[in-house]
Amino acid sequence: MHRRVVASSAYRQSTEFDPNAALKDPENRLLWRFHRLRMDVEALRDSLLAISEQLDETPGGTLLPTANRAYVTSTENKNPAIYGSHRRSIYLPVVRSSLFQLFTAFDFADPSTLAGQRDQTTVAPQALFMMNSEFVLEQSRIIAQRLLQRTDLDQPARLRHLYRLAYSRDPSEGEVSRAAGYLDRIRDAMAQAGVAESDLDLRSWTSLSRAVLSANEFIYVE
Amino acid sequence: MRCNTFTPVSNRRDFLKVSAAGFGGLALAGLAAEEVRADAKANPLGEKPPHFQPKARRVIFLFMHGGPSQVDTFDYKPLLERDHGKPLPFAKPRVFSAPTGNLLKSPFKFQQYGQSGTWVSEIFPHIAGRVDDLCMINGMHGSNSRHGGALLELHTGSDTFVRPSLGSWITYGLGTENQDLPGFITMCPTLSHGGVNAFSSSFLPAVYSGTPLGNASIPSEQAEIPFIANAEQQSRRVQRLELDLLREMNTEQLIATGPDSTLESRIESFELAFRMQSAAPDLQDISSESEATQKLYGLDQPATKNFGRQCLMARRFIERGVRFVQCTHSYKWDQHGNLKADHAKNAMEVDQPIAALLMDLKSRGLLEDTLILWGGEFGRTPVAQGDDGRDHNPQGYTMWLAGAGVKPGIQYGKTDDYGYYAVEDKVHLHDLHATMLHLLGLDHLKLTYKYAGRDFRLTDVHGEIVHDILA
Repeated sequence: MHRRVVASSAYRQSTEFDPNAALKDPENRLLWRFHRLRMDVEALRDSLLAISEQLDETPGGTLLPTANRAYVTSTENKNPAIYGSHRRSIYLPVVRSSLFQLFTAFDFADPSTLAGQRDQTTVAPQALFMMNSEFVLEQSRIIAQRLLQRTDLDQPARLRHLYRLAYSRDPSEGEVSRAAGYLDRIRDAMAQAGVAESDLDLRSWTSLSRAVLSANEFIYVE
Repeated sequence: MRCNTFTPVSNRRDFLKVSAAGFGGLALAGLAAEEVRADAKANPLGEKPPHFQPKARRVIFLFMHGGPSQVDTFDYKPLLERDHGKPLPFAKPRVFSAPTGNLLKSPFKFQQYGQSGTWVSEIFPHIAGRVDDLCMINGMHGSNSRHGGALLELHTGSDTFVRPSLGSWITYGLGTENQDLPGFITMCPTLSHGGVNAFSSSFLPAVYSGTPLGNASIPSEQAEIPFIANAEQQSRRVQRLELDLLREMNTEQLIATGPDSTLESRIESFELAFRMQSAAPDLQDISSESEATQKLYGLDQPATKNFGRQCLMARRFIERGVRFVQCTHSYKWDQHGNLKADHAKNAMEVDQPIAALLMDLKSRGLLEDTLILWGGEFGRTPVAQGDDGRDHNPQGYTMWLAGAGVKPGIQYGKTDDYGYYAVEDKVHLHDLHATMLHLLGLDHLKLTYKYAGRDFRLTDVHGEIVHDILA
């Protein structure tokens, strides 16, 4: 059954837009294109870690540092920091009384209730996470460092590398020149904001990487 | 990649969800307020008309986690004093939390206050000065004598299953007035006894979940909206440039791939996030409050500073149109022992801040349309645990309301002579919930959500509006 579904031509379509089809079937009930999928929070977190090569793929085991039951039923306001790990998201503890903040922000279903399907909301806290969190900053910075360490690559080659990492495709010429222009602009703005000269390369590439990771093209599977 | 998601992304329900873009919905910068209202239908957090004319527009819930003792605070029992040390002359409840002994008089002195002549214990001198604003409900009762169940029942109406919380139902019913802020905020919520379940939206859409600011393990001055501060401390201008680039990339992709409301709303969510973030420092920065105000809330005293800040922030939030704010004095009130010292200490930490909040709201005219609820998940037994402690007691206890639509300066309902059971004009938690929704202009019978094949209500199949306390 699964094989038939995934091997079908309907399933194997891309999300490419077709104005004619859209006119006749705006809700895509007849599956004239693939429904755009947003990565679940686990996939999002793992993808970010994978791109920055920080993902720890060790299988099995538990990340809960407390004894069995001690945490969940505790009456103390303890919040052990158990989410700093770079293990795959599937290994992150799901504590019913204290859900991981990132999970909550991205529609992780309430683990105390039955849910046939997760909600999929697009809310400002998710954007705040991409813009401001230490986690996304860290991955963007590592990517930027890696790109800058490649002294064998010139700027367009580095940009190509970034696009391949994030989107599995090469950037268009327009995208390369836009990114180049952005790097100049953001460097100026950062210098004016008092960022040290020695940090400008890293900070500007970090910013560019974060924008690339925050874009719809990254979080939606086409 | 998942292979089972064949629900059309653009059906009506999903459209409602995605076009919300969270706190902002379609409230783009530059849109006039009227237009925003016109779009409320498409935005799940947009303002929604109540079922009928409301008295209250917003709620502040002052949660005293642990279970404050009614007979040591607001339910004066002279006979308890007289019969101290004697056995309880009637049966204890069949289901109880822990074994208890004989009657234990309150270690605190009571006195009458205000024109209403309400008896208040000496541990609440400041609140005692505001009793004429309070609608005391002395005949509260609930169904569960353990913290977890009782806490859930108080917050969600159910002590067994995880259900949407009161604040979630209210934001689901009414939306919120300020699209740049969460509609339901819970400050320093407790992590224990159910934790997130006390503010989760459960089966309601996730946008109606309470936004926790910090948690009970950190001081309230460090409590902020998640991810509101930039980890790299980028300047505003630098971040704006980054977001401009992001917007350009996203728009280009949108044009290339054809119209998609999901993509559009995600583009907008970044703009909204940026605006929220711009508004937040102002909101968190209480230095704009006068010294007199800060002193009023007790921010200059170590004992009152923590809860004082919560109360002050609550006022600032509701002033800006947040629908439901909860302040939590976390898990302090559970005096199985050391009642005299600890209840006095707990009361001192919240007494002045709460009185300040009442006073401040009143002087700003906000008490007229703000409903305040004070109380714990249950009360305590008039019989002793050890010689200076009391057990949990959901059979009869006191909560109070103040503000919009409730009679001020009254005491409603009674417990028995010793304060064990609610006996007269009893108010169950379901009744309290029904009454609160009523004050907000919502019919608790009509505020429903379909889940697992049937319509659910906050009050399930229960709930009687307590008409006698309505102004």
